[in-house]
Amino acid sequence: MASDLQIGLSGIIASQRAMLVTAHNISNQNTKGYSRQSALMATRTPTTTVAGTLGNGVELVKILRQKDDYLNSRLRDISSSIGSASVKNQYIRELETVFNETSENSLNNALSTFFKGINDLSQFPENMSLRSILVEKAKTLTESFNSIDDEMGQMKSFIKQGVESKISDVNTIISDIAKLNKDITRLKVKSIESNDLYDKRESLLHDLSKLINITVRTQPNGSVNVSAAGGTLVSGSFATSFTYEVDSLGNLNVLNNDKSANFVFKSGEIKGLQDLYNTTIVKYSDKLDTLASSLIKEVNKLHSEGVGLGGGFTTIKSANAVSSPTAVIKDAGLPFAPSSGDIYITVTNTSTNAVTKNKITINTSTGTLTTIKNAINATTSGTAGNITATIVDNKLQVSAASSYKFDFSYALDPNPGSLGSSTVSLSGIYEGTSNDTYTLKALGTGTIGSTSGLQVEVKDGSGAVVATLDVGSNYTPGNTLTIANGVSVSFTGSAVTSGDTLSFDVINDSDKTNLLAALGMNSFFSGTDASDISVSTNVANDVSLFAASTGATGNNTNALRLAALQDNSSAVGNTSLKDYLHQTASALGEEASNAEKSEDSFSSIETSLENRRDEVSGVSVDEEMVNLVKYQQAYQASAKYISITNELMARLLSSFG
Amino acid sequence: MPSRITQESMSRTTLSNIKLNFKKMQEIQEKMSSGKQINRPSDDPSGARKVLGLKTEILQIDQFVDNAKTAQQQMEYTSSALENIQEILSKVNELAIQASNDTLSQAERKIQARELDQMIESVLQFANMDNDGRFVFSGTKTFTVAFTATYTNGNISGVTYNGNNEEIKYQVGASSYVKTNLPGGAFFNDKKIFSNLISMRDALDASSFNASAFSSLRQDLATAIDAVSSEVTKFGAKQNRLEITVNRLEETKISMRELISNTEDIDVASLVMDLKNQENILQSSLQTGARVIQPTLLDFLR
Repeated sequence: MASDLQIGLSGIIASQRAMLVTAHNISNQNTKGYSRQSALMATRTPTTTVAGTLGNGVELVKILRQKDDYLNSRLRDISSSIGSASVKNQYIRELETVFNETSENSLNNALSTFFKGINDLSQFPENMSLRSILVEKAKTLTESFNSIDDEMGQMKSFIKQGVESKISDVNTIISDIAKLNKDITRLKVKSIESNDLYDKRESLLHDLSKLINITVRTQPNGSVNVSAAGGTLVSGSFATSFTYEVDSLGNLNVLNNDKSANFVFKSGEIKGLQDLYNTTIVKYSDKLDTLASSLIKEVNKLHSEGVGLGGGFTTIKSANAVSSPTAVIKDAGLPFAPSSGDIYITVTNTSTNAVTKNKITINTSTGTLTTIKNAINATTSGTAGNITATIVDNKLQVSAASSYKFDFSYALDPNPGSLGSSTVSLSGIYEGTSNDTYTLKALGTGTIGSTSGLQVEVKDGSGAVVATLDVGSNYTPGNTLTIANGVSVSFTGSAVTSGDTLSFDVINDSDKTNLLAALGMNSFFSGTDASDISVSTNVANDVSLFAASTGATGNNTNALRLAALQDNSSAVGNTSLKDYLHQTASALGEEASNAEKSEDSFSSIETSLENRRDEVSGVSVDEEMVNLVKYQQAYQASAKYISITNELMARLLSSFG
Repeated sequence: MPSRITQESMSRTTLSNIKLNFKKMQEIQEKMSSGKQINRPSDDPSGARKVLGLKTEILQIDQFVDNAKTAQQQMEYTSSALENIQEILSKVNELAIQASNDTLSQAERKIQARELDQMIESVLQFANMDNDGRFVFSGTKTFTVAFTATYTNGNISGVTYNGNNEEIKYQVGASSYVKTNLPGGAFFNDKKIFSNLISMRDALDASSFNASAFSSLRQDLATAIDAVSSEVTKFGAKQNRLEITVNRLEETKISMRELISNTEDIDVASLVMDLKNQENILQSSLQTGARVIQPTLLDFLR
């Protein structure tokens, strides 16, 4: 009879415990990372009788943790992917706002407005207020470059802070995992399955995977070994820790604490932040720098060949210093390397207006700033003491003697010399596309303006005849005759002999070497990239120095050239400035749109994986209610059995009583 | 079909759908309120690039139109000065015809010479005309008075050109430039306008009248008049061409505006439809959520 009661009791105890499991499930239905538990019941060891084995009731043998290791590891992977995608999305959107290309305050607008300023000035190059407006527009443009560069720098420092705090999270999590490993193994030795500790560890692993992608291996003793990027983070109760460092190349690396190994993760928030810091922002910052440096270079190339409202200069000092006056010029640390070629220096006597054109030839692979200085001093004007070149603080300084001025313009030499005894004057603006040399040759002997049929032939550098001029009896000495490409000539009425020649250079580019722009002489922009581009102090302080002209006040040749830079399709590599900017903006847009899409798609995968995980591990209240009813009924039935057994015993006892 | 559905997964699904619907609503509302399909490059990267390119081009076209209109004004000044000079030269011509008349006495010719002096002064005045401080015929030396006269006995005896022979150009197209000025040196000197008038005056002033020399001067005058009128015609033709250029640029601008609008602006009708649809979807997702999340077996076990 006693064993009868025991069976009933076992039923009551088992049901009660099963109800406890159910209650635990219900109360943890919203606990993060909780895995549903279920009570596993089995028959107790039966008693053997002659009739066979007689059941001895029920016992709760195990509380199972319902989980799917595969799904958990997939969820960790996807969580790492979401981690990197979401930080990327967040920061690229911010970067897009920084570039702000579709708005009115964009760099694109500032660039267009700057060129509009040049164009407006080309209409009236004499106008001081148009010059001031242009300089203000240029300042707006350089400030746009500066502020975008600054904001990108700030983003990088935010990201660095982000990495720092996330690394400290990682360190906390891995040391917590190691502690849990220790607790779990200690219980496991005593054959105790600590389900809730497992859940806690699983949840930590999930948190960790959001930060870095990890590989998890479960050990027979119940602990997990966690590794990432080829290194071990947790092994049993041992945990490593991380730190970070920005290396000499400016890359942000994650290292272990003694800095002996560099961890390169595949995904996770830290990897996402590292990518932004090391690649994405650097890429756009480089593009911005390329745009700024191309703008500086191209504008200065043109600007250095022009003159301001006051005509030539009395003294000019270069803005960029060389590393040493004796360093080979192409390796002398200038913003860009000049090439070999000729530079023309025009020196004007301001009292007589006599002009001397000097040509110096520069070899950038052997020449140094000192040889350039010497070459200037060795020119006709230099030896005459009309201009002097010196080196001050590794910068080139050229000064004119009093009542002399000099410039680097491509204007024609108005008085190239004489043909025979006739003085030749040139006028106009050379419009050819490359530098050339024209040679005048008298085709007959006689006096210009009186000998009938007298002709002068003009050949270009290649020997092709560009014009044959009638300077015979129909020609009035002093009248202008058109040669070609905007160049006109006039002769005085003097004698020439057949075969007399006179050669003169017609220049389109007075500084083929771009040395002036590289040195920053007569430059418009100073600086080398987006961070330091600015309007050069000289022009900012005196807007009349803006080189719209090649000589006279109303000459707008250089302004037109500068305005045409907007359409120059090889200003930045093989694109124009504006196209380069549009390409950059649209590439950034594309990247932002992709980042959003990939975060969305990873999120939807995560949702479906979480749903699948819940199919196994989630708590269904309905199910738990059914279980509760089931166990309650089992409890009630067992209790009923005990009461019946009790009645039986009472009856039995009373009948014997 | 999943085997077990839990409350958590149900609320997760509902929540993520509601979030998605809200996001779509927000996108539509942003477009509606800004009136633009593209609010940032990532909304439509290739469209954004197209729009950016077109907007820059429109700015450039505006600039070309502005340049062309200013060029027209500049030409207007030059050609009106030339027209005035042409008129004076015609009067000189009439006067020369009278002077050639044998019946005229030397005293009468001297009176004509004084008249001619005034005419030379007038030509000089127009040749030195300035437009807002810029001398029209000085080439690019716009701040320099184009011609200075030397006087003998109070009358002009010679005229020197102080400008240069450089042309001023304006950009009116991507690679199209228009010349807006007429450098006076090459024109007035080569056509001997001043020297010829001075010679005529001196011929009339002389003690004896040389008819054959005077008639050759008259021929030179005729050439000068022709040259001036041909420049006036050229400027007129150029102004007309600029008018056409401006019109063509404006037309291009309109079609570019249309292209931008097609890419960038919203189609209000279809967007309103989208908005209504999205509202319905959002409402039904909210309603479904409310119904689905609530009941469990708990509600029915009493």
